[in-house]
Amino acid sequence: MSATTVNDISPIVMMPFIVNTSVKEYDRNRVPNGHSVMAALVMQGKARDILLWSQNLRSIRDVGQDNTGLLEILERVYVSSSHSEVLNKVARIKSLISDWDKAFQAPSMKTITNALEIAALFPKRFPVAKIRLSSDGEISFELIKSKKRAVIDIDEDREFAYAYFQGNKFVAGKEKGVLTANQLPKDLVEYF
Amino acid sequence: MTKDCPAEASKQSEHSPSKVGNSETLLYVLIEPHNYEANGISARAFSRTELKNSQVSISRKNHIPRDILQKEVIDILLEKDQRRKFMGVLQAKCLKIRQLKTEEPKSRRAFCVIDDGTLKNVGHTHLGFSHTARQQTKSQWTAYRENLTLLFGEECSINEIYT
Repeated sequence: MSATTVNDISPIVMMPFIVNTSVKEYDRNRVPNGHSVMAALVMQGKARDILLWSQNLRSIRDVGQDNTGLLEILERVYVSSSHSEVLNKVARIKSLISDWDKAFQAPSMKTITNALEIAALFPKRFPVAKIRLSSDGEISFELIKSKKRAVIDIDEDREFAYAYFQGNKFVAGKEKGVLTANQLPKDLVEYF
Repeated sequence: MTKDCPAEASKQSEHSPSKVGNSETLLYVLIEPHNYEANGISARAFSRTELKNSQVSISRKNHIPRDILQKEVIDILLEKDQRRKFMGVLQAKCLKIRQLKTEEPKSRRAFCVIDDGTLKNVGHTHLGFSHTARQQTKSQWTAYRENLTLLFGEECSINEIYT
């Protein structure tokens, strides 16, 4: 990832790149210290978009000028999570599906950002999500744990959809999936 | 039935042999990238947009001989991009699709199956959300789509379909 790319993507997308690609190389060559990362992340985003990360960012700020400390914080928050690979794949989704044909609409940056926000909310006990795409640019997370199955559908709207397998069929989630709530619907969390 | 799927009540296309009967088997052709899997990312068979617009193209097994399925469905889809690959065919009974209900009210149909025969493919049919389902929530659409996907099950080869 180049420094110019930073300006083209939203801050919420930036985080998994930093964590999962080449953190040390990125940090050493392009980001002199933790505060520089902060500037790059905050500058491009709306306040709403970075709300989820605010606590983590505050932790990063507290690290001060020590790059090693920054890496440790990032790795602890994201890489240690079993969901970091999901975040990584979603962030790189456009390149991962670049060889799919044109009939398949790639997800927009807004949809990708929404998907990242949701994936960042997955509790550790959640199964690792399988990523599925629809030809209309929608991103879906499929969560399977034993006989339990849930699906989360994400598009450009702030409202996401979810359903889970109950009895012998899928049923719709009980709550409205709202990204601004900064938490997953209670029934979905309790399902797993 | 007619309230949720009024177009099912009568034949819609002059090329169709009849309206779609409950006993018919319906086929859905899987073509990459619609069933593509790379880097752990896979594609879904039915897009929500197509379901909302009743634009999911399926075929009536009884009215589409093997050679027509190959020539008028599979080959045409493959021609759109050289990288595409035929992955197989999903099948489901029309009655089972019509028995999928909305959550609220429970007695309403979730999907409609409407004939749309063409000159070269009289067995062409459209599948989509019912009028009732289209008015419902996104999460309900998600549930209905998953139930539809479960119903169609695993892909079969053409040989399996026509034996």
